[in-house]
Amino acid sequence: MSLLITDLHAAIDGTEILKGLNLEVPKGEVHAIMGPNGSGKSTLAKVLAGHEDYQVTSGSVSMDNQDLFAMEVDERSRAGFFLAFQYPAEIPGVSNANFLRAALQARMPKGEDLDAVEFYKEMRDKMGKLGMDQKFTGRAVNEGFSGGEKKRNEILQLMMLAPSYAVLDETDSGLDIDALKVVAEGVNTMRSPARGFLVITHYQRLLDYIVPDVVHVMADGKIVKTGGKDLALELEEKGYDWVKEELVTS
Amino acid sequence: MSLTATPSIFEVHPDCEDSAPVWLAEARNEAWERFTSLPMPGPKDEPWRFAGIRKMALEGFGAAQAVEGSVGGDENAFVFVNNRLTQRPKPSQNGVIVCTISEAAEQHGELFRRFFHAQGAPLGSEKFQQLHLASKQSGVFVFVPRGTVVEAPIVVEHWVGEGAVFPYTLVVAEENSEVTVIDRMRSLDDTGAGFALGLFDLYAAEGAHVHYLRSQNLNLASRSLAVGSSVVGRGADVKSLLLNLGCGWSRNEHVSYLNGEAANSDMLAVSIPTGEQECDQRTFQHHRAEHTTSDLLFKNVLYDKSKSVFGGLILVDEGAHHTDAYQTCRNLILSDTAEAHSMPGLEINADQVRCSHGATTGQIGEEEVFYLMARGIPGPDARRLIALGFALDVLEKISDQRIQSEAATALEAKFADLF
Ligand SMILES: Nc1ncnc2c1ncn2[C@@H]1O[C@H](COP(=O)(O)OP(=O)(O)O)[C@@H](O)[C@H]1O
Ligand SMILES: [Mg+2]
Repeated sequence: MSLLITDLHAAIDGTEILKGLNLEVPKGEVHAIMGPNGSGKSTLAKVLAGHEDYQVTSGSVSMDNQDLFAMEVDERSRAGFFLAFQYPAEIPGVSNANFLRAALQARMPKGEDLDAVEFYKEMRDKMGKLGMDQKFTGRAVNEGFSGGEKKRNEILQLMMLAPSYAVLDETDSGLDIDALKVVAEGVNTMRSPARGFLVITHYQRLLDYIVPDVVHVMADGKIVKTGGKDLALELEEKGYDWVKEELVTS
Repeated sequence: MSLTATPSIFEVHPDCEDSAPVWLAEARNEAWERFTSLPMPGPKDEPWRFAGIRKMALEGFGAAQAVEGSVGGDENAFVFVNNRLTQRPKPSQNGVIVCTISEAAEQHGELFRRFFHAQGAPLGSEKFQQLHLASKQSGVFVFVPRGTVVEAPIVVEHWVGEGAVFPYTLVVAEENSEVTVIDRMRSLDDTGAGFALGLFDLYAAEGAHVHYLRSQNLNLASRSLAVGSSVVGRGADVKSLLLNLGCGWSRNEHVSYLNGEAANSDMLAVSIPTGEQECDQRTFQHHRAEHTTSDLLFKNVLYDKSKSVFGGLILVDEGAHHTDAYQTCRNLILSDTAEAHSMPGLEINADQVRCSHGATTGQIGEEEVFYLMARGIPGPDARRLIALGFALDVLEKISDQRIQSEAATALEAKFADLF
């Protein structure tokens, strides 16, 4: 059981960004992807989620042996895929609570309704764990939220939807150290043998709090190096140029 | 239309109740004369630009006839069926007058007369306003004495079958009083072609607060024309919300007069035309005193081949310094074949004013849809949620909880019926 990416090529407006990417995240593991800006990390995340701006030119992705690319965006989510966005969209007029209810209702069998009382209880409980004020239930999704509030809101959705595989795209950016700890704690409580994580980050700092099992380095649309959690430290120390140089010399 | 038995409202002066006082009977006769002599407005008249005047052809409409049975409306409401009172709620608080228009004419003559049809129709519908005056009106007169806060909202339901009805909501809130009034326009069935020619006049004297909801959800065979005013005194405040959900053709004309220093008027509207519905709205925010404020936000969500028209004017009189006036019309278009026409306008004759007016027309953002779908919400539901959110956003500006929740429920029900 894994999220298996094989020889993935993807382009935007005819420019190839992902250039033959291979990666496997088994259930129960936390993998990190580190890489310089522009290396294609967010592109990978959005291709997995099914964003229509990106054209998959070849390769495949299977999630627990299901073909991810055979599914629509919403089907992927209901099948257990989750992406915490680097830049979450703002949805004026749609309250956080109504949004989450709609997302959970979409997972109910036909004809069954979500238990509203249970839902609110669970949401309030999880917001408490993330240090989110209760007023965020009634506020429009992400509208006027600070960077940190948006990231917490992504993790709230992660906790409510309990996916099988979660990709977190730069969830640490825009967070101060206290917020980072809260968010990491939220993610850590979600770690389970039934769930795989792919944590995308530019900085090693997040990985002090969400300790990965495996670290991958991405450059120019490919995974160029894979190692244990110490690889993150080494990268932090030597910088991304080190990987790029290795790439050139190899 | 099986209206052959009933004389057209355009040709025969409607029978009015014998009990009407002489002044009213005379006013109605004069109004009938003016109605017949005024020309029918046409698309070349500025206030009717872009209007589907064809859809306004009213020759076939006769006065709505009495119907058997009851409609089972809200038991806390005044219920009018085809222009006739069929139910009244328990009496209101002591000192507050809440009665039908005919009762007001008979029992509160002098007081009522000062406010009855006193505002005219400066936004294009004078002819129809005269027809309204000439006819027997249904609806209520509300008079709230100074310092009185009316706790429960005053609710009026107008049920319309075939033919024309003439609803009137006349609210007079004296100094430092407060009242909430809710009008509901409903059809008796899905097919009866009704015509609701209505008026609403909301008077707020010094320091008074008036909250008003007009929720129009008539069937698609029906038409509605509403001519309304908010007349706001010193430090007073009128907040109105017009919900236009039904009708093949509907038009609202709403004027706000900011007459006293620090008067405020909030003018809100949400319209959700679908199919071939047409929704036409004209507004006027007239600032006549210093430090007055007005805030207009009209939102339209357009589906299919529907059409909306918005024409607005802010006028700041000489001497009405330190005015704050805002006027925004926002259209969300969900189909290639819908049309939205917006004509915002502004004329400022005073200093140190803050005014803005503008109109936007847009579509649902694909990034928003993607975000919701990425959480498992199917595409059509995602679009519906976003469109509903766009509409519900207007309700954020409402302070009266009862109006807010009734409007939210109506909007949610409307969107639940859309694909
Ligand atoms: N919408 C777009 N149009 C054109 N190029 C894009 C677009 N989005 C991203 N890119 C390009 O794709 C490359 C990878 O971007 P991205 O995946 O955001 O990288 P990362 O997340 O690793 O910083 C960059 O060179 C960027 O300029
Ligand atoms: Mg990125």
